[in-house]
Amino acid sequence: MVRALPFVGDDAALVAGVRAGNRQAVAALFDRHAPHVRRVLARVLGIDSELPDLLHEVFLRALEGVDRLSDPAALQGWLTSIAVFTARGCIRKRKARRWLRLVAPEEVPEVEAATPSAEVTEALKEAYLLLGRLPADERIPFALRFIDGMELTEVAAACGVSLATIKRRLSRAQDAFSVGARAHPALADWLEGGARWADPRDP
Amino acid sequence: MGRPKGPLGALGEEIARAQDAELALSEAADLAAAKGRLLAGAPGRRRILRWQVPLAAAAAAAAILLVPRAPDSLSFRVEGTVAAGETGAFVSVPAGESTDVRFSDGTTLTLASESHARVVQVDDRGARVVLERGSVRARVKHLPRARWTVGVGPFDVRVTGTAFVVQWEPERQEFSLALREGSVELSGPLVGRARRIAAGETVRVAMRERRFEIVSGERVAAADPIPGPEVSPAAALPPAPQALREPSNAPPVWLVHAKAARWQDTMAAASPDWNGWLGSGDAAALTLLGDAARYTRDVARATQAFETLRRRFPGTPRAAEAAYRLGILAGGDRATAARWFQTYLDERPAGSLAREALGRLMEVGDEVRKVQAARTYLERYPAGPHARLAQSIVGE
Repeated sequence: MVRALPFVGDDAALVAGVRAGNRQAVAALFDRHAPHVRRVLARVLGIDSELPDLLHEVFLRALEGVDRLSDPAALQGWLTSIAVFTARGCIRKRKARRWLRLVAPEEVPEVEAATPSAEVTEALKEAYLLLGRLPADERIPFALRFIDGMELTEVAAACGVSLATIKRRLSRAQDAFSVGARAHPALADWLEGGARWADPRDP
Repeated sequence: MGRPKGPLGALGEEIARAQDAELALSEAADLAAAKGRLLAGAPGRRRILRWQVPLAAAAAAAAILLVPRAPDSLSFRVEGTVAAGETGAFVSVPAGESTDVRFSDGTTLTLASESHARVVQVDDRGARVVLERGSVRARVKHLPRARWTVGVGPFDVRVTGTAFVVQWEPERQEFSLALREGSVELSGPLVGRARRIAAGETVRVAMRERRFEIVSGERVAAADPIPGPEVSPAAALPPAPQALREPSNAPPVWLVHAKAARWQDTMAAASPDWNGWLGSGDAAALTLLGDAARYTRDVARATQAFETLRRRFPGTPRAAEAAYRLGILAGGDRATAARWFQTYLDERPAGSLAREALGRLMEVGDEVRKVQAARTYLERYPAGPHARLAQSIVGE
């Protein structure tokens, strides 16, 4: 039986392979970068039953636009920006259907948060409720910066705006989230705890 | 990573950690599903890129990938019209009549007399229909990947293959759903999250009166009479009871609120029989009640709930978690707080709250306990969020 060899090469070679229509390159593109893309989607949207659909959509967009990628070495950053764009589109579509939803049982995600503590699970839930109330252009940079821990320049690149613009949006998001978090008991506990437990030598 | 220092950064780090744990549970399945569709050229939300490798390259053993065209969107037709249905156009049903909207996959929506609706979006998997007022009976064809949404006032009905009648009275803010076939899960105001509705059940929500009910076993006939002009759509349903009635198989109202994190509503619903719930509820229920009281700053009731839990369910993981929460509730009484955090660690040294309990002991414990907790923390969680504090305590 003939087995296809896995694709070998850096991201620049990967992009060249995808552009050339190499199936192994497409598979390798996904294998190498899908976990990161999925994580970025989850940071912005929270744990979501549509993650597989959205993940697929991001890579479809990537395949369609791969010829426009000017710097193949910046592949991950480019994929991040596509993920952010896709997540933003999803947020906007959901604005109109925020209330009650009937979902078929097989579509309801069954996630057992066995590892995190009950406190953190509650904080996770409340954090995303709060984030859902922010405008998309503030929610997204906040999630990328404070939850995913991206550098400011990475956040700006992912959102397709200048560093100055992302700083302004982050400042607004930070203020709104902090005010909202102090009104949510699970988050207030963590915010106060974070302040208490910080090393006093920290600036 | 460049996460900012300070409470928000620390909170963000904890959220990321918790989220990563949840993501890990479904990672293999999610990745396999998305990759399979990508490589098979399965249709997504957009058309698949159609691209090929030239034959010459194929002859040189490069892979050739032919991606099939994405299937076309469904089409539909409104009964009584010749042309195909138009997305976005209103379908208004005259009094005394009913109108079918038939889709190319076999799905049929029957609009009742004086109903108004629109098909706002159609794709290859289904459609989104908005019912502005009135009643629609839906028979959704159960197909793989089917995805239908019916917007009904502030509610959304999302199904993959079932038959139901849904109704919305915007002036009275009343919603109802009668499920004939299949099953769905219902989430939203008053009913909570992810409530399973089975075939034969009817759900009614009266938003202004803040009540809902689920009635089992009502007959929903195959040929339901569509209300005529002399009967209002609401009256066509079985009459509502005079008083609030909770079906025996429905959870208590306070639990519905608690699962939706509506803590004030939880306490309002549970308070009239607070001691009764503490005496009859299981450990999970007592934990929710205690948390609801804690989140609404009712320290006395929260303490009562957690102490009752420990008394009624000794030695259980939830009893240990109750000890941790009692430590938080102790507030400025550092000795009591320390005792409860230590109790948690004694009962569940490797429990899910062990790291937090050690962290809190570092703050409220006496000098001996503080140092012990710091050393244990550094042994077990050398990279934990409180590691620097622990290091400052042990002087490293």
